[in-house]
Amino acid sequence: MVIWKNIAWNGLSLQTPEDWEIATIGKNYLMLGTAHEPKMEIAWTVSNKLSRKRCLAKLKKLVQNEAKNASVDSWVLSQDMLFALSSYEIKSFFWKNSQRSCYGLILFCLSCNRVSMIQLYQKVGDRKPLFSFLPEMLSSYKDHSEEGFQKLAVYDIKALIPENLMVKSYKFVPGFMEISFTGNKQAITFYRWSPAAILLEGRSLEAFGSLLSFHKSSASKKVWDDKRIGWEKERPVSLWKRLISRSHTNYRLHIRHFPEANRILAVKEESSEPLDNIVFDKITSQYGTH
Amino acid sequence: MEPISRRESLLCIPVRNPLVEETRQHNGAVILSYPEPVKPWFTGILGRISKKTETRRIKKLELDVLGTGVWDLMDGKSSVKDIIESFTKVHKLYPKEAEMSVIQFLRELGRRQIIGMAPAKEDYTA
Repeated sequence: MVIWKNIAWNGLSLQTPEDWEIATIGKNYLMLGTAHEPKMEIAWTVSNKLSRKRCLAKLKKLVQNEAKNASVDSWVLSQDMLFALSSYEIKSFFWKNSQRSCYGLILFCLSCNRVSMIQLYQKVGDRKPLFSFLPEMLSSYKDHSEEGFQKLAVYDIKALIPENLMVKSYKFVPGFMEISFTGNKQAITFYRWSPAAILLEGRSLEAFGSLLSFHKSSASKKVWDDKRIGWEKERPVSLWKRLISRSHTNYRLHIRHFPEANRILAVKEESSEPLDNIVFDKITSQYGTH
Repeated sequence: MEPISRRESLLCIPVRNPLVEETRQHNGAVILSYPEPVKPWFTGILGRISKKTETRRIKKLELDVLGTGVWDLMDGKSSVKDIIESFTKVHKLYPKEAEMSVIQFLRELGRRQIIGMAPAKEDYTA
């Protein structure tokens, strides 16, 4: 039996076997694998009807580069897989070189116009059945949200973000993660630090927050308890005051300490058109680790 | 010499250089004193000025709490993989993150010749 975990990134989400990790991450790209070998690669882009041909040609070129000298054929999807991907227009391809074989899919989403290319790898000589869990995995594949919020689930963090926001930048280094989303004059950034016990040794969460480079000392403090603190500064209402203060954005920074997980998580908003308070509260309350 | 695989490198055992001296501070953190070979051209200049012909000088490296933790886990028996697992558990880290930090740290100690890597005793073809 396969134990599943959720991976969600920049509008796309799916369930993968628990031992698959993110090996490489890009704005519209994910390479997943176990500790020893690549398992799955996903690249995606949003197209309109006119550029769909161009997208397909670009993806074809990408596949041919990876397949190198191997010939690219197609493969036949089982009924289960076709059912799992019934809301997509599908093209399949297959290639094999001396090290691995690749079962590929190009999916056109009819409702959001996203074009995704999925490549599933299998080492030559590997007899483990690749297709046994594939229909279940593919049925969990989602390239757009339906409830107004998109999921974020990478490494050990999970969050909910308004669907109109897209990844602008990200940084994943040992001990620190930062992911910024922007769209519609709104900007949200998620931060995550670990190990919290070391970072908070001899200082409070408030002292830690005050030392952050993006902390605004002019913002007013809001303390819930010793494990949750925030700073907020509303943008001036009048244009004249905005010009004087040189502040055009609404600023909110909420930091939480999770002692059991040994993590510190923070959400920062800097928007010229601030998020609704209910939405911001939902974002901060749903942001967590797993 | 053939390059070793990731799996093989994780099974290697970090071994402390016996010439390295450790001093433990009151907060538990460690200062390592290790010999560093002096560059021949510098030895020549030094010899002419002070009549000293030292080929090594002692350098110091102060480890932080996390570095000290990894240093303490290096008992000459535990493999890189064992150290990563213990480090992950102690600090409740994300495994991949712990692996990157520990490997980066070991690489730095290796570059300064504070540690060496002994080949794994296990049969890693299994």
